Amino acid sequence: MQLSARTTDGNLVITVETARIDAAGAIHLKDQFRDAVADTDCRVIMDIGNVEFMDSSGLGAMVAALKLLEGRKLELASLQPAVAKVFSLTRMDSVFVIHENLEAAMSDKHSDGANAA
Amino acid sequence: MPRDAQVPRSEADTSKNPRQISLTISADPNDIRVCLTDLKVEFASAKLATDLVINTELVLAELLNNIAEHSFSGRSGGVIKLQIALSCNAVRLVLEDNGRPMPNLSLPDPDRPELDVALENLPEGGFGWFMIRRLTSELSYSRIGQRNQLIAVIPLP
Repeated sequence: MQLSARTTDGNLVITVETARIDAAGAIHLKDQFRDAVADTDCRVIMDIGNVEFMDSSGLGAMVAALKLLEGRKLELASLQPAVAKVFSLTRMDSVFVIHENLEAAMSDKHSDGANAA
Repeated sequence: MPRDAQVPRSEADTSKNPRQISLTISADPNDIRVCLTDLKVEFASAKLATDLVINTELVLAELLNNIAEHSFSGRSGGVIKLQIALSCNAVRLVLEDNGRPMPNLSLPDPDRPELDVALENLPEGGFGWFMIRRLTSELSYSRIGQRNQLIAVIPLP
């Protein structure tokens, strides 16, 4: 599991660089996410466009990542069909903020994660 | 337990006969990942519908990782035998392992995990069997001697 992070227009954009968020890599996602969001309180957008597959362990890691934000939203962009399927089947698409792509996420000024309860 | 006859693959017309794949996998998350990635190539060459491929990969990942985590927990060297029959409207899986039996000799059938809870109580697990149940039209488990046998059918959505 590899994450890269950059700050753009006051948003922290975390890109998942691997093709699978699965049982073999889920624990690393949580650890690397923790490092990426340390010492920042800006809006967090996770670009998962490279991810072709996510299983239940991967979904669990995403929930763990959300909890690390302690009330701020975790916004996800560019879900491939197999990933979107897992979010919709479990209704987890109601827990995360999901954007069609990164551009849509960046232009959505209504999602102000820093002020979320 | 009735078993499908091994239909020989016809070079002339593969569309009518299920395509059979048999393989043996180490019960290890990294080997399971490699296996699933390789199988995607097979599914593509069999021209399965995209939605059927998506559902099959997910069910297979959940079943295999469940065996690795629970059937062989705390013990290395576990092996899973997998047979797959691909046809255009369904995929049939037979998984066998010689690990521990399923608790109560039955497969879990959980409700969808509850999401209307405080953030810290959001579930981080319990999705696997829920998704397996949702995506299969047939799911059965047998303990045969010292082996577990699991049969799953994933229909074309």
